[in-house]
Amino acid sequence: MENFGSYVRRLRKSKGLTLKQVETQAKVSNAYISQIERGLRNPPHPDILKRLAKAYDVPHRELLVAAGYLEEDSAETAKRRQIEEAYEHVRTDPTFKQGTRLKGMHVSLETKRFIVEMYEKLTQRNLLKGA
Amino acid sequence: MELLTTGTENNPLLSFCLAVISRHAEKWPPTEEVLAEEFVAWLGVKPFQTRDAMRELCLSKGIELSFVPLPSELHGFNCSFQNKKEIVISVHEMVPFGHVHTLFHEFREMLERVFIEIGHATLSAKESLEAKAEEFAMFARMETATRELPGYLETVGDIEKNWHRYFGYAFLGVFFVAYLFSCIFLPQFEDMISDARRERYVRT
Repeated sequence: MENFGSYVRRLRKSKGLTLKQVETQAKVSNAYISQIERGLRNPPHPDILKRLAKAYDVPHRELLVAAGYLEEDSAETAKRRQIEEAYEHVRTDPTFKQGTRLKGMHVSLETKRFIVEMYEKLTQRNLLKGA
Repeated sequence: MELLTTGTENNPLLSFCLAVISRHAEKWPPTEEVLAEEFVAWLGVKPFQTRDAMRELCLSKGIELSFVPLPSELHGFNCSFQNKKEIVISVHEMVPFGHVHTLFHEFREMLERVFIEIGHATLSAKESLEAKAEEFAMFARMETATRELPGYLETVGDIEKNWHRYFGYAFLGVFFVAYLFSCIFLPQFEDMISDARRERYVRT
């Protein structure tokens, strides 16, 4: 499983943010963030995670789960997995062509869900089954 | 090449791509600027159009266009399945004319897929379609304004009073330059606005 440092590093890069930008937005020193990313520090306090979540534009809960403060509840995990699997199916279906104009490189779960729903609409297939 | 044998009358995108290939085969691939000129002439799009007019234009080319709330990082989306083609654009586009830029971007991606299907890809493996579509959208927006400029100049030229006419030319000049500027820097404006919003959100 991906450790917290690699996870936040990947998240920051996918949003196209520098350490300095995160420092400005979250009011957390860039040296500290760098140490976290390199695994030299434990995941920060939930209050700091809240500020980081806003800077990275992800739900606070997502960082709390990644840091090990919270466990992903099983219903949410199942829903997430279903969307991820459906998205993978859509992405690899050669009969369905799609493209996006995105801010940055990160494709959120919400966006994946939207793409799957568009697939369902055009192909008349049901992949999400109430997720 | 199966597409070629099925006729192009029900597939305006394919007709367009074939026409572009026939005109530029000796110097393939065309630049994004050339492709944008061809595209704007084909679509007949104007620099300032209502969403309804854009929907009509797209529909005339066999594409369903809709404006809906999309996830925050998504400006637009395009997809095709069998003979169905659809473009969806965010209603929350932050920069003026951002929806036009996004529409052209989505069109470029669809066009590239047709070019690939008929064996005339315009991009090498190293090139990014995303980046090319951004370039195309910028040139296409510039082209819409450039095509309309002679008409505007003629209208201003018909003004009788000298100083009114000079003011008209000056206004047109400034507006035209500002419009071209907005075409070139739209993605940067979007990033700036997005960063400012995020910063404001973090502060609150």
